[in-house]
Amino acid sequence: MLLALWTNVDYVASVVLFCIGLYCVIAKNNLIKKFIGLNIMETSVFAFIVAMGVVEGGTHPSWEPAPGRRTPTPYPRALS
Amino acid sequence: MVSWPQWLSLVALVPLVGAVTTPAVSRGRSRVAALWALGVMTVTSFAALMLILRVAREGPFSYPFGGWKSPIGIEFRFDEFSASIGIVCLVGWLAVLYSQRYVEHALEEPRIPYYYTLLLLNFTGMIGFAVTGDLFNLFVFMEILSLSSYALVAISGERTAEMAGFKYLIMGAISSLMVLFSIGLLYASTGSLNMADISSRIGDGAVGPIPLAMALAGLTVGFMVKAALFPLHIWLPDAHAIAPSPVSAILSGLVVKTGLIGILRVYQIYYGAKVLDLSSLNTMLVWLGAISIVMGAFFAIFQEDIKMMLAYSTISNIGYIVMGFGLASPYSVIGGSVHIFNHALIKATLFLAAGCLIHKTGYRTLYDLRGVGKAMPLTTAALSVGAISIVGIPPTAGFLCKWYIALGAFEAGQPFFGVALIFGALFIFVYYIRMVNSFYFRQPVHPEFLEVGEAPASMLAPVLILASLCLVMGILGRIPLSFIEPAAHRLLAPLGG
Amino acid sequence: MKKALVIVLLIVAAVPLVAAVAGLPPHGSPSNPTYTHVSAYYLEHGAEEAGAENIVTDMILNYRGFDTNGEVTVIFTSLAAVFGVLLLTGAVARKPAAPEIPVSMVVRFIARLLAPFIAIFAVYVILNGHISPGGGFQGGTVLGALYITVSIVLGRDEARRLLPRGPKPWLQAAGPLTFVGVGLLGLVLTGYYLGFPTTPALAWLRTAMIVVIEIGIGVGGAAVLASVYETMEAD
Repeated sequence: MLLALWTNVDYVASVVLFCIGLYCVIAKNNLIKKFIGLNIMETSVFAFIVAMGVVEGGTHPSWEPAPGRRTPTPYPRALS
Repeated sequence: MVSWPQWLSLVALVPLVGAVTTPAVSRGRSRVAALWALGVMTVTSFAALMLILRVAREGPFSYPFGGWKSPIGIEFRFDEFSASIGIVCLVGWLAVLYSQRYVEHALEEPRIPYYYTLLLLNFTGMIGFAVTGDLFNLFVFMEILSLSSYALVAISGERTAEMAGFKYLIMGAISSLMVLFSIGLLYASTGSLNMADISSRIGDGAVGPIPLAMALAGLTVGFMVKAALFPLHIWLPDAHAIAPSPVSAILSGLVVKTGLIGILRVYQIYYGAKVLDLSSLNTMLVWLGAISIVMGAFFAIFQEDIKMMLAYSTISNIGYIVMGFGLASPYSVIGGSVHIFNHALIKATLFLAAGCLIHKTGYRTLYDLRGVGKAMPLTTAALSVGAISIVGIPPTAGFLCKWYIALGAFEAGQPFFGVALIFGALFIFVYYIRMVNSFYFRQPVHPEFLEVGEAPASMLAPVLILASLCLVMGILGRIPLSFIEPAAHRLLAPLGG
Repeated sequence: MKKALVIVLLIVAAVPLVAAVAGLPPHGSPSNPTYTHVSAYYLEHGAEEAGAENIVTDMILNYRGFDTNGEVTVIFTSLAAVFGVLLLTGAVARKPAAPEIPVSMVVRFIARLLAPFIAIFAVYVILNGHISPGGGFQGGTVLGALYITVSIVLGRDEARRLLPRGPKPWLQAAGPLTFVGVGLLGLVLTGYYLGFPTTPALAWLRTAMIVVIEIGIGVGGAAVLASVYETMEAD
């Protein structure tokens, strides 16, 4: 379990960010702070999605063909 | 002649193009914007009608965008549940017609073209949401839908409306992000975004159960917020009561239902895969549904504001539908799905009729509106028809679905919930009786509005059409029931039902 | 008290979430389904059959073009939302002439000097989206930022000339409209909405369609950003 947590520490980081954002949205009364919280949550989800595309030793998918490129699929998700 | 499957892409594209061109075409003239929106909705309704006729004859079909096969590209998949776009088009068309006179007084002049843009975008979102077969595409349409809904709630520009819109935005944004996170979990575990493909890939058993369960939880909770099920309903009463009446009719009749369609889609993924035992989730949904019915009705009894009362009644009815899904027996799922359709009809009748009353008299509480039945007999009659339907008295639209859900409760061996349902209906009966009583049998507090007369024809006609449909659907209620039946059986087939 | 309650709630939510991400396939491993299933197809065939060398562009504009079509509509929706909530009758007329804060000569000069370069860079980013990282969204943002800079430094009237009233509503809708236009062209050519011709002889057309979409997204994105800024400034 701990090992799995360590390999997926990037995902765990985005969960932590997600919870920080959620805390801001729920606990703060200031509307601007709520909005900032929403933004943190949003960023955490994008970070999670982009992190899924990482391949060890990969390069950016738009560059010249090379074995082991990173997966392109998750990138556009973050556009929203 | 456009070939058959093309209608499926058109049904989402026509309102989309119509929406983005509304400001450019109308150039600030509100009359032109209204006519343009009406024309766009007419074309969309025609496309939707074609699709529904086709699905009734030949069963589900799909449309791959760009010609890419399904896991690679995006596909639209039209099944019997997607036929809910029919009610979107019907209520949408009538609401646009109704808006024309309503917004003239209610909104600032330069906002009116953007009001129609937002309405059409809202319909685009709902239609796309119902017909897409791709999870991320579902999210994209949900975003179009949610963003336009927040803006429509706040569009009148009053302080209360802006606060209600903001509250809605906060809840809605959290739920959207939960849904997106869950889609991410599913994508990370399967590498696919196509719903059917995900379902077959998680069925292989190569994926650990914990991420799947979490994704299920996230999707369900996210859609529950959109559907305003009991503990997550707090945004609904303000948003629905304060929005302009045609918007309330759309939000209450249609937009909350997208959350329910979303729950159905999630079920389609998970039931088919047979990896998780969903019975505990179902039990939870049934309980939440039952609590929603009772709490919604309970809060509605104490409301003085007529639109507030209708908003709480929406929570009760969402409870009925969710209970129907949660019971997971053929009867209850059929009843629940058809109640999506019927409740949209009924709630649109009620909100549009209430809008007529508020528009003409300027009052919105039951006390102020006493005796309005003499001043606006047609509108009040429509309102009463809606009230009778929503309680579920036999010859009207509300009866058959509730009957089916109750039957389903007995079929599933949980008669307690059947009893809860009838108990809830009694509660609902109480407050609608209170409303009808004060409209017809009490002395008017403000006698001056006895002279106001009925609302203009373009507002009255949608109300009357919807009210008569409530009656007609009560008599022809078997048609949607038998229409949705194959889909319900297909959904439940993996359970051995 | 409320804070403690919220924190307890969050921990209750976080534990299963952390368990879920720990149960996902290992991060970064080449055997992940995210890498082996659909993406593998894109990486293998993208450059040949989709019309752009940049696989990300292939994927957002060709394979999953309809998502981007929706995404562009989301951007337009945010514009409509801002206009719907903020527009007022005669807002500009009613607003008292704001006391002009004089902008330093140096700032004005530098802004004027850099503006053409920023514009050229934006156009470069938009047009090169199919070869290198970049594209309509990014280039459009740069263009929009340019408008905002001009509006702040050189004054609102100077900026308004960049976005004339006549074509403005069309420019704001440029993103979804070019998308639909190209999609319908694809419908005529291949029989599917947003279909791109697959024959090698028509490879130039494929690339041209992608570039047209990129331009549409760029122009539309910039117009939306600029008008949202303008409206909010007037509020």
